Amino acid sequence: MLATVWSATLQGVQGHRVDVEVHVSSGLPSFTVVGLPDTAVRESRDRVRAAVLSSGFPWPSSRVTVNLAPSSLRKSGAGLDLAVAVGVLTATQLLAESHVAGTGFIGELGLDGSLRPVPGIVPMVDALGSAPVIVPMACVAEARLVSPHVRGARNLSEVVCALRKQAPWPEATSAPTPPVRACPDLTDVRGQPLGRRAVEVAAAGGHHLLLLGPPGSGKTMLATRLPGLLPPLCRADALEVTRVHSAAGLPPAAALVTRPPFRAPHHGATEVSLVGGGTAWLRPGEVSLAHCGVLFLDELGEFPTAVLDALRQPLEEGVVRVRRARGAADLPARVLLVGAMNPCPCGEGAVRGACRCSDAARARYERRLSGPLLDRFDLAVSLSRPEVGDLLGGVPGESTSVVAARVDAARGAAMARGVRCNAELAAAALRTCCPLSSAATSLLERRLLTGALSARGLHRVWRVARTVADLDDPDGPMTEEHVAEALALRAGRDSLTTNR
Amino acid sequence: MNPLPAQDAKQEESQLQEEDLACAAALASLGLSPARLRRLLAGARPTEVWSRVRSGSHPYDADGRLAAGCDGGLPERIERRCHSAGLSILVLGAAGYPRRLTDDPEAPAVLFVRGDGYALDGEPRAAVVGTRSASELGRRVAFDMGAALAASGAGVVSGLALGIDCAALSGAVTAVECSVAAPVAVLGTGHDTLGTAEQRRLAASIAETGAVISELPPGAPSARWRFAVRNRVMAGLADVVVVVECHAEGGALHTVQAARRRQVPVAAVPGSLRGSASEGTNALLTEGAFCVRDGSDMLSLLARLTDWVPASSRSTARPAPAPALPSGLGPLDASVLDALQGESLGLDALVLRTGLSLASVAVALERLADAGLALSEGGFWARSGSAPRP
Repeated sequence: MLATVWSATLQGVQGHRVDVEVHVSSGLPSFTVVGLPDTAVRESRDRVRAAVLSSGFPWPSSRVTVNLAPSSLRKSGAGLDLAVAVGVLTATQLLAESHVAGTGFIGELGLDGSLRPVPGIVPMVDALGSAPVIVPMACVAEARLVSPHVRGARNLSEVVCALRKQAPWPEATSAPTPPVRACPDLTDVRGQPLGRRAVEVAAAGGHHLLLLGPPGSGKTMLATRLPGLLPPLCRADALEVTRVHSAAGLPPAAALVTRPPFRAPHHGATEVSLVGGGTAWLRPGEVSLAHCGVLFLDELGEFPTAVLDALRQPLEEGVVRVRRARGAADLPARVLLVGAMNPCPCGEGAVRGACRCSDAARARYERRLSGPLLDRFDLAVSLSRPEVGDLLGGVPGESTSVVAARVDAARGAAMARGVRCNAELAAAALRTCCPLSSAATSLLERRLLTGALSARGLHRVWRVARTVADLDDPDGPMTEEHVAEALALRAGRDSLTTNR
Repeated sequence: MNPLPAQDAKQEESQLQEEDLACAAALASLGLSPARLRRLLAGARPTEVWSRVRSGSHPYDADGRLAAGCDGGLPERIERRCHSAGLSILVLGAAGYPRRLTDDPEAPAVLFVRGDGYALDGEPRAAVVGTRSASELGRRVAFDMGAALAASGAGVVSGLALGIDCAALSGAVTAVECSVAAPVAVLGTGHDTLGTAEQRRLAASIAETGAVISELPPGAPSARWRFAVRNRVMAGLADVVVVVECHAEGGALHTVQAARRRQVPVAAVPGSLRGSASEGTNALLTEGAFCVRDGSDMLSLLARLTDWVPASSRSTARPAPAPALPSGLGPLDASVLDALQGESLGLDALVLRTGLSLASVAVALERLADAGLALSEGGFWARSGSAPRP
C-alpha cells in the first residue's frame, strides 16, 4: 500500500516542497528512508516509530520504505517527522487518503508523540503555496505570516483526530509576544557633532561607515543608534527579512520584522558564521541576518583578515552566493556595514605622537584591514572622547525622531532618482542627476591633482556629497560646502593610510 | 671644535694589509661587546689576534668560547660579503678611520662603511635624533631642520630609525645636492638587515653622497642593546646633539647621555605640554639644554659653539611670519584659524569650539590648507608652522 504526503525542507533561505512517499509491503519487518536524507532525517525512523506507538496506534509489522522526492535534493532537519508518521498511518489505512491529500505536514516528533517547533517555518510554509499546512502549535503565529491556511497541533493524536474529523482543530494559543526592544535614542549622545553627522549621513545614503577612536569615544553608542534612524522596512523587504530570520532559526517572531535588524557579531566569528554556509542546510550568516539593516563589526582590527575579506563580495552585490558540493544557495545580504576600531593597538593615538605605538606596530594593526575592504567605507571618521562638560551637562543633541525625519526625506529624494539610496548611484547617473557647482568641482580637482583622492574615491565622495545635499535640501544644488563636508566625513582614512 | 683633547695625535697610524682588515671583520662578527672587541684588538695586528684567538691561546679567551666560534674560512667569507655589498672596513688606529672617533674613549674597534668613509670627518655635524612614534609636526620639524643644515653645509648624523631619524636624514638627502655636507646614518644592525623598504631606500641615497656606518658585519645578528650602544657613535661624531621629539624615556635619551659624557652640547625642540611625544624634550629644556626651534636656530647655535661660518643659503633665513590673512579668506575662515590653537584638533573639537556647522568648518579648513595656513595630520588639524614640505 502506498501513500504520498507533502512536506517541505530548507536550503539556504529557500523552502522546497518534498513529497514523502511511504510504501508498506509484506516482507521482513524493516524501516528504510531513502532520497538523500541527512543524519537528522535518517534518525527520524526511531522517533517516528516511538511517536506512533506512544500515541496509541499500531506499527505495521511489515516492510516500510520511505522515499523523499525529489531525490536529488538534500533533505535536512527533523521537520519531515510528522509527514513520515502521517504517511505511515495512511499507508496502513489508519487515515484515509482523502484526509491527507493536498495538505502539508511540517514538524518534529518527540518520542511521546508531541510536536516540536522547527526552524525555517516561514520559507517552508511559503514553498507549499496555498495548500493547508499542519505545523506545531508553537509555529502557528510564524506560519500565518505567509499563509492563512495553517493549522496547529500539540501532538500526533490531535493531528489524527482532527484529520479524521473526530475533533475540531485545536485553537491556536497566542504565544506571548516578546516585548519590542526600543532602539536607544540619539539624544543620549552628548557632543560628538562629527559622529552624529556621520551616522545621519550613513543612514540617509546607505554609505558604509568606519568609526575610529580611542576607547570611550562613543563608537558603539553611535552604531547602536543607527538602526533607529533608518526608515521601517517595506512589506517586500519585511517578508524577506522574516524569511531569513526564520531560516536561521532565530526566536520565532509573532509578526513580520518591520524594523531594520541590527547584528553585532563578536570578533571571534568564523567565515561561515559571518557569510553563511555550513553542512546542514547552508544556514544564513550574520551578514544575511542583517539584511536590510545594520551589520556592526566592533573591534574591526581584531577580526581575522580572511573573515573580513569574505565580506567584500556580499558588500558589492548585496547577496552571498554560497556554493558547496552538495548544494547552492543565494542568501540576501544587503547591509549597511558599520566598522569600529581603535586607531592603533594601544587605542590612544589618533594623533601621532599621543601614543607609544611604533610606526611598525601601527602598520601591522592597519594591515588587518585590506585595502579593498577599506575602500568600501564611504565614511570614515576619527572620534575623540567627549569633553567632560558635555558629558555631565551640555545641551542634549537632536533626538532620533528629528534626525530620522531628515533621513526619510533624503531617502525619498534618492528613490526619485530610481535607487534605494545614494550609495547605489552609478557613476553615469551621478553626472546626469547630481551636477556639481564650479566651486565644488575646483575643490575636487585640487584634491585629485595632489593625489589625495583617487578616481574611485572621487565617485564615493560625490555620492556622499549628494547625500549631504539631500539632507540639506533634496532639490537644491550641490555646493562647495557639501563636497567639503563629504571630504571631511572620510578624513578618518588619512589616519589609517599614512603608512600604506 | 672638538671637545676631547687630541691625546693620541702623536700615535702613529699603522698601515694594515687587506688580510688584517678581513681578520678584524671576522673578530667583529663573533658577537663581542664593543668594549671587549676594542680590548681584544688594542695594540696588536688583527692577523695576530685572529690566529691566537683561533688557536685558543688568547688570554682574553680563557674558556675557549671564542675559539669554538672561529673557523679558518671566516675572514675570507666576511671579506667577500663586504666586498660584494660595497662596504669598506675601517679599523681603529689604522689609516682611514674617522678622526672624530679616534680619540673617543668608547670608539668602535671596527666600522663597516657604505659610501664615502671620508664623509665622517670634516664639516661641523649635528646629530638630529628623536622618537620613532613621533607626531606629524615633529617629523616636519626634523625634515626641515635636516634640509636647512645640509643646505648650509653642516652635516646631519642620525640613526636610521623610522620617525624623527628618518625624517631628518630624508631632509638632509633632499638638500645635499647644493652643498658639501654629507649625511651620515649610524645603524644598530648590520647593513643587510634593515627593517623596511623605506629605510633601505633612504640608506641607498645617503650612501650616494655620505656614509652609512655599522659596527656589525653583514649577516651578523643584531640585538636590542646594539641600538642603545650605537647612540654613543652618533654622539661621538657630532658637535651638537639635537632632540626633536622624544617621550619621557626612550633611545634618544641614551644619545643625550652619551653626548653629556663627551661634553657635546645638547639642544632640544620645545613641544606641546600635553603631547606624550614632547615630554622628553621639554624635560631636557628644563634641565638646561639649548632651545632650538628650527634649522636656522641650529645653524646659529653651531656657529656659536664652533668657529664655523655657515655657507650662505636661502634656508638660513627665518621664514617671514605669516601675513595676517591672505586675500580670499573670510571671517569664517579667520574664526576657524583662531580655534586652531595648540596641538592638533579633531573636526569634532573644531566644530564645538567655533559653534559652526561641520560643512562650514570643512570648507574653511580647505581654504586654510590651500593658503598654507593649516595642515592635516591623519585627519587632525593644526596650524602649519613652516612652509609646505618640499
